[in-house]
Amino acid sequence: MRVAYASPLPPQRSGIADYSAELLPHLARHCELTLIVDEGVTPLPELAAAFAVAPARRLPELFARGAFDVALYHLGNNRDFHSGIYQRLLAHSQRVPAVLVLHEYVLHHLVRDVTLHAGDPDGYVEAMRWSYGRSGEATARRVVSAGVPLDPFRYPLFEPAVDAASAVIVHNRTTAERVLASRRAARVFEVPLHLSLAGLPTTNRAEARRLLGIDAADFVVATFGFLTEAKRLPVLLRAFARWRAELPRARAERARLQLVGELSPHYDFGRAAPPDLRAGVEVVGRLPLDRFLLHMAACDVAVNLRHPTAGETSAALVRLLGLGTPVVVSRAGAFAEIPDGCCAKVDLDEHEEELLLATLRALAADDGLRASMGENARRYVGAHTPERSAAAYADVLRRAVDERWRAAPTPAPLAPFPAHDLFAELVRDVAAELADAGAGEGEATLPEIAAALVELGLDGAGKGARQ
Amino acid sequence: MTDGGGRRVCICATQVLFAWGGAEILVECLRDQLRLRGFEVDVVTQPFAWPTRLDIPKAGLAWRMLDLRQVGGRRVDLVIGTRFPSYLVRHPNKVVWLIHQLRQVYDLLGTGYSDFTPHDARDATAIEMVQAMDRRGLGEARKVFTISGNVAARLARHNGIEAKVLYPPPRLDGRLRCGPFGDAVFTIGRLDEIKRVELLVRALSHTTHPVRARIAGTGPQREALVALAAKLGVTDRVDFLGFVTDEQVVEEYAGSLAAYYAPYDEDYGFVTVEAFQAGKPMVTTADAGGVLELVRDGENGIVSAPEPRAIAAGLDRLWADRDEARRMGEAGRERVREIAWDRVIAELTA
Repeated sequence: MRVAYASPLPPQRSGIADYSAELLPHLARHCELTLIVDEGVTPLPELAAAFAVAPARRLPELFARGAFDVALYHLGNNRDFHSGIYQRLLAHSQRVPAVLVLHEYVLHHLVRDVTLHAGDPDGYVEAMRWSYGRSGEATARRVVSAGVPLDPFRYPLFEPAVDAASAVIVHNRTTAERVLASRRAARVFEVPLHLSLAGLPTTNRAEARRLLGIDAADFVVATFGFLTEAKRLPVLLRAFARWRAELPRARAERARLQLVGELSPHYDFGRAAPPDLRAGVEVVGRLPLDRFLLHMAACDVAVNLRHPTAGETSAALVRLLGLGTPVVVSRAGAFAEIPDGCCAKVDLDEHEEELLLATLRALAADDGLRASMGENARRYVGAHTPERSAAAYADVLRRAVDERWRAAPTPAPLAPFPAHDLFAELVRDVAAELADAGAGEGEATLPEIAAALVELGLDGAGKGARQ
Repeated sequence: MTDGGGRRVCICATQVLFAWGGAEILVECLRDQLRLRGFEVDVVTQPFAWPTRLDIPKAGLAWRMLDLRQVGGRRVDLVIGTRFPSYLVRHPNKVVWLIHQLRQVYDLLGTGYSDFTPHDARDATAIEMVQAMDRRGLGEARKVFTISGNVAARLARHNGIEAKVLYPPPRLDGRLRCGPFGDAVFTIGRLDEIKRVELLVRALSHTTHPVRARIAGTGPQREALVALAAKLGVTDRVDFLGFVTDEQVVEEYAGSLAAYYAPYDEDYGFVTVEAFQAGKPMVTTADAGGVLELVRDGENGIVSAPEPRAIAAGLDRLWADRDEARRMGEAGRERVREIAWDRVIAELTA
């Protein structure tokens, strides 16, 4: 089975590139892989040596020659790494079965970047219409004409990619369910994010602390990864400050909160972390992977809050679990799917801060609880190895080839409107007004308006003229 | 006289912004007359303008989305629809007193008064939409009345809907009186092309007697009419009165020789009823539509071809024989005796 493998690859700095690098050697045992790379990308020498590499521009020719039985496309939301892959998926999905790996379901930014921001507003409107019908189109028109922002989580725009694919691989149930909610007929397979325990530092906590210069008596709470609004830093800072204030002075001075990871340039850190909440807080910043992992091993409790989520499985979280570090997560999206006992979960409600505080208290006070939670987590993640992922991928790819999977046909209501169609224009106009008034998809007036349009016979008018 | 007993009625009226005419007057009178009889009444309006075809179904939809079943926790007992698209309102007890439909897609189609072209796909769709909306809005009404036989005939012809004629009394009902038969023909209304006041001005240039015209009302045609009078050399025989008070109207009718009213295929025409209530004969044309339901040539007025010379002959005839004019006016008064609010309200609220 000959597979065209399209993904960002190291040295590209992307979690998906690292993921692929881990998967590829194992997947190669099941099939013959050709790495499809963007213009100007040269994979690390060890990858280039182990696999055939073809520049993306040669893809049409290779498809035409019948060089591949199936193609695998990895998609995330980052345009720097996925624009080309997205466009190739849409362009070539009819050649051979196309298997899409959806690392998160909110692709809105990516789709917007390759259409609207690339000077193709019509393409953006069309993608929104294709995905969400007339209301989507009306909303997109408002974005294009008036720059009115929309919530990408409400319009995730994974639909064009899913519609082009013969099958979709996701890493968690949250994403699978979201895809199926929009596209009932899609073939969706869940392959949990793997973790190679072999790649983790073998240093124990004491050794990691020694290497990092952290005192054995310090109690270290840490958060990891790219720091954005969604990581809910203010909640963590307040809970940490309150917990710290409860401690006797000597212990309080040893309580530390480390922020390990790059600060998003769009993130107003100063506002999120006012000076009065910074006691004991340390901004560690971006680190090379080995140092990053040492911090994970060295901390006592990791906190990985997240809202909103785009259905992503956090690679940082999987590593923390694999290292046996006790973790506190938000009960949201894929995070909620981690079995109880492997981590502590905090609900996203008005008690979030209280619950986080109580959790910190409990974990800090109970060494045994931290140890058993870490052990559970290690066992859970240990089951998700790259070997198992590769076998699951190979199974989907094999079936796609053997059963000649093709993308499901696009449902009829999404066909474009003729320009002279007064009824379509009426509906678009009404939809736009509704969108303007803030009506959402669940709005009770929508069925009422639809019923009135039909009742007045407006939908039947001009049928003759339209055909 | 009907007793409303506090029953709640909503009159649904299509609002033409910055315009005031027969339809608006009718709605106001109906409201006042209902109140007089103990009904609790309000007028519900939504503006209707259609710079584009799309605005037509949108206006229909807006009326349809209006829920008037109850207001402030209390039931509305009756809604009365009037002009398109106000009768699309949804209510379990809806009657329509149809002033007119969207005439541009029906009887005016193909005339200079409508810019719809049925070969155009968008226009064809718009026309079908109006027809579908009318079928629904009028078809579901408990009863459909029209303000004239002309409107009822159009409804039967274009939509196959039967309606009963219920002539509305004019606003000055009960106040109009007859005075001496002077030398001027009086006309009143919006100075629009379709009202054809121009025919009257032209006719003056063909009369053998020095018949005068007194023209009340304003409108887009005014300048053109003034210029026309000057061109025809009849300026000293035409008075443009502009906006006039009710008292002036009563006086004008009372002192006139006759009233003139000859729009193209008019729905109804209050002028006719007003003139007859004032005991004056009507001068009109054979294509004036609803006006002809009340006017009989030689009996209570003069019906001529829509040409200046023919109209001039009629004016001369009345000028020369004031007794005949008086006799015709009397006959007219008899003809409209039945047109009364008591009857209208009894029918609408039955």
